[in-house]
Amino acid sequence: MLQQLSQLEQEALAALADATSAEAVHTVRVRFLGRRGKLTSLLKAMGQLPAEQRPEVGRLTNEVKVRLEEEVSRRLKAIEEEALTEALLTGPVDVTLPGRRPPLGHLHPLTQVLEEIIAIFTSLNFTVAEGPEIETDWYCFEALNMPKDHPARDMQDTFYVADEVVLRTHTSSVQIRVMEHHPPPVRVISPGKVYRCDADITHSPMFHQVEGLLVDEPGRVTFGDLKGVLELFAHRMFGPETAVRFRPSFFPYTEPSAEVDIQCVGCRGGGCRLCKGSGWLEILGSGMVDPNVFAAVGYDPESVVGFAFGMGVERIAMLKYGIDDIRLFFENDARFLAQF
Amino acid sequence: MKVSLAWLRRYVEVDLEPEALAEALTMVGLEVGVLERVDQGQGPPDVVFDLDLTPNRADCLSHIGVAREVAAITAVPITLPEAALAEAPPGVETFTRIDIEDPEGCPRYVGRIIRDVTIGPSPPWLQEALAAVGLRPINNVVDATNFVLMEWGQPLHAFDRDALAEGRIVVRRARQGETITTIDEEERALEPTMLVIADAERPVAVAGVMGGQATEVTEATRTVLLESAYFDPLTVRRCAKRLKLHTESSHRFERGVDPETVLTASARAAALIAEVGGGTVAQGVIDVYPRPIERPDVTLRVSHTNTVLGLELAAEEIAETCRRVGLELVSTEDNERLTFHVPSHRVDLEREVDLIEEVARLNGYDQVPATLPASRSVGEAHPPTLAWARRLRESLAGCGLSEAINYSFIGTEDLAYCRLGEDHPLARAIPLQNPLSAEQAVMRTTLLPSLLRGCALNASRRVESYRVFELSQVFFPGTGETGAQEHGRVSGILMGFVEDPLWSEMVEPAGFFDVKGVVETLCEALRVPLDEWRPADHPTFHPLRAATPVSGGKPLGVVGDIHPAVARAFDLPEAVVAFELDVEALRTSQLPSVEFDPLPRFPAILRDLAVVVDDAVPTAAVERVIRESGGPWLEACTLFDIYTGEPIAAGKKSLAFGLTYRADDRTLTDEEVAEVHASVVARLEEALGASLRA
Ligand SMILES: [Zn+2]
Repeated sequence: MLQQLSQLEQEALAALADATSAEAVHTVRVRFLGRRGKLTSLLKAMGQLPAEQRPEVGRLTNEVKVRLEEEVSRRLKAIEEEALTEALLTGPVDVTLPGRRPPLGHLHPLTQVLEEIIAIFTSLNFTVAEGPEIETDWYCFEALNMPKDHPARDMQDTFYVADEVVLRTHTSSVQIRVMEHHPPPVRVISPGKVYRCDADITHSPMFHQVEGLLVDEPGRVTFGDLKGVLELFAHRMFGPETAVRFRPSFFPYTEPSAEVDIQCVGCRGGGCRLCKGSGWLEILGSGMVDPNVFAAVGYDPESVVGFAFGMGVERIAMLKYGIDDIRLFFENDARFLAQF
Repeated sequence: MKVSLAWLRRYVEVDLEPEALAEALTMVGLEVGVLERVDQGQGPPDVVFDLDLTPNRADCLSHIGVAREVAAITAVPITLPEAALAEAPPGVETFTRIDIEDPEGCPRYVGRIIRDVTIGPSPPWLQEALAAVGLRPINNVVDATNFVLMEWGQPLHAFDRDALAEGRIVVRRARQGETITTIDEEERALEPTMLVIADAERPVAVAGVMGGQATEVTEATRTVLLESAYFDPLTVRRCAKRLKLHTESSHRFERGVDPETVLTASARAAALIAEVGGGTVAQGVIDVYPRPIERPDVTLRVSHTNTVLGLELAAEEIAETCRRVGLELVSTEDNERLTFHVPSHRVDLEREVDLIEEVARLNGYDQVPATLPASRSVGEAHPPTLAWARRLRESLAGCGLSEAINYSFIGTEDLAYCRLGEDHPLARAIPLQNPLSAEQAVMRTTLLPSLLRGCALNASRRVESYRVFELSQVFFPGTGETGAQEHGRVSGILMGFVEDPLWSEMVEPAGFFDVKGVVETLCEALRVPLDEWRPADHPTFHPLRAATPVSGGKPLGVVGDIHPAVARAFDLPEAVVAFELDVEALRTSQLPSVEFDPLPRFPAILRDLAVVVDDAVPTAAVERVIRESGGPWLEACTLFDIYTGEPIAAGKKSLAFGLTYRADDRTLTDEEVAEVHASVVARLEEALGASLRA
């Protein structure tokens, strides 16, 4: 009896394995598990067994039945899967064709660099201040220790709108406006467009600047702090391994004044065309605010100290992206804009 | 300023390699731009440094000035040249007379006479020295004055004494109507503000700027009158600017020469002229110095110096540093107040802060430790415009527009191309007094011309589709202190395909509804509710295919097809659509805050509604009637089809809307909705003569 049972299971499993369609599986199922199926018949024959063997055989028979039922559903699932796979493989699709993309615009590289600069300084607690692009001579020059007929005015070729009205040559004018309206301490940056009458591959008649100003009581802000803040800026902007140097310079509104150079991004200091062989690139001007500037805005030059700095956004962007012609920023060629 | 290493070595010993010297000079503020090796006939090659001098360092516009810096850096002594003067009678007064009528403009004038000179080429050493620093040899006398110019930084002028009327000099302002032909052969009109050197009759030189042709040294010259003077910097600067002349001489006088060197350089040049020109220096010197130039002593506070720099220098260290640049310590008070006498050549050192800079620069900026500020200043809130502008830019980028940045100036031609007649407010652009070109002559009043030019440029470069926006200021005449007012504008332009062409389907070129859609999306992103679109009246746009979005009764700008004549004027190959919005109007129309609406809890009932109206009835009018008559249950009303043609009568159109009805407290019944829907239809018939489409 037990042997018969085992033989029957083997027979059924073999038949199921041979069944390649759902119908065939059903036929097999009916043949073995149906009301008149072979297993049922075998079960009926159990009555002839001695009573003590019946429970054991009954249990085994049931197990076989469960196993076969499982195998039937496994088989049916496999057949369904195969059919689906086969159906999916008809009518192939070329997945290398381009996707249907929603259009995406790009922010101007200058905006992106400007935002990066602003983010660095706002993380150092600087606030953004804005001001007019058409300025009076006072805010653009006089208040910044650049009296009329001073040779320092030659450093910035100026567009005039009227005799005393100019297109601002730097955003330092905004800092004067801020100081006029706020008592110290002051900690601001002023980003924006500035203008100089000058045009070639490195000079544009309009460009962008970010100028910064920190003013507080003596002792709370030093030339060393100026170095610390600007070094931190250079490291965040160009990477922590970038060497930075400060060298003496001259700006009418700061003293001592410093130019800030970073190690050349083209040659890492060895000397190349970008840095004209020096290994260094000038990225910003800075210095301690000249006492005359404080006097001009009504601060007491004896009770405040401050530092100021300024940088050209185009310059930073050119170094960052390796752009060699400043005019590309203002042509707005779609193929240029799409790269950023 | 070109500096020859061989020349420097006349005054100071230089042990450094040229590169190291260049680096050292750069690090004390005399930036070396280019370093060039120059072959000399015999001997080792010379090295020439091109210094990018800042305007404050007038003292370094000479080899002696640079030598002083080298001496200060390397702590070696400097040897100044002696003038080997061999004077012979008769005295200088026999030959000339000098009167200063304007001591304001000319505080000091020194004259010497060198007689019996023979004009000719100067000796090779002199020619080579000048050539090395970029000066062209002229003749022995002029070369000698140029040599001393480059040596001491004192501009000199040699007159042919015999060409001067009465052989004498008067320093005065020019008279109305006077002219002079300068040595560059230009006749120049002089003005009464200009200081001139005159003889008994007429101007013979523009003081500190350029000499006159009539009295210059020629081959026939026998007696030279040598001028060495101190002219007022402002007077020289204004005059040079007015004459549009910039010379070696004016460059130095504008920045301030050393009033003491005036005399030294005169003797040095006289001796040199005698040496190379074979003449004799007349006995004595005429030194007219009506207004001695005072150099007040400067006091520096040790504590203040350290506070500003973030250093802890002792008084002795500071004094020693200052001594290296020739500052002479005259008194010390409590090791705190150090008072210095300033050498006359350092015209830039007048205040305590000037000395603090000397201390910092000579100690080396690299010696100052980098620290972070102890300042407790807390920034104020950022201007709200900043985050808003970022949202605006990102929304437009999300609509597929890239950001453009254009110059703020345009040509008046651009305004005409935009069909802005002279009396149109947008044509009242502020002109620049000194534009670089006619295309950049006025401040823009609209961003559209720049964007249209961008389209033309890209089209000419075969860029097929171009979608950009710009966020910028525009400028109008105003009444404030600058006479200008500035307003923000955001404009955009779409040319060519709305999106990148895809292989699977046709893509349409951008049209009115594409640009309108961009503005609608932008307004949604900025939470600006749009209540209506009015017809727009803007010369740059199509007369019919343009509209003004309105929010809270406030017009925001204009959106539509660019007028075909404008497109043609800008040389555009195809139609473009554009918008220009007022940033302030957009910003102030923004809903102040979001108030949350609970999500619907009950199902909606959807009903379609197709009505036939006259062609002239705007869709928005139909929609308004639907919304007004739909009652509180009408949640949404969406146009889904427009149809004209059979069987709709001519002059009519069919508009099909999908209406969504929903109550927020229960499920509506079909009967309830049918009643409202019927009243909507009735209202449409009544208000617009609409009929239900059969
Ligand atoms: Zn390099």
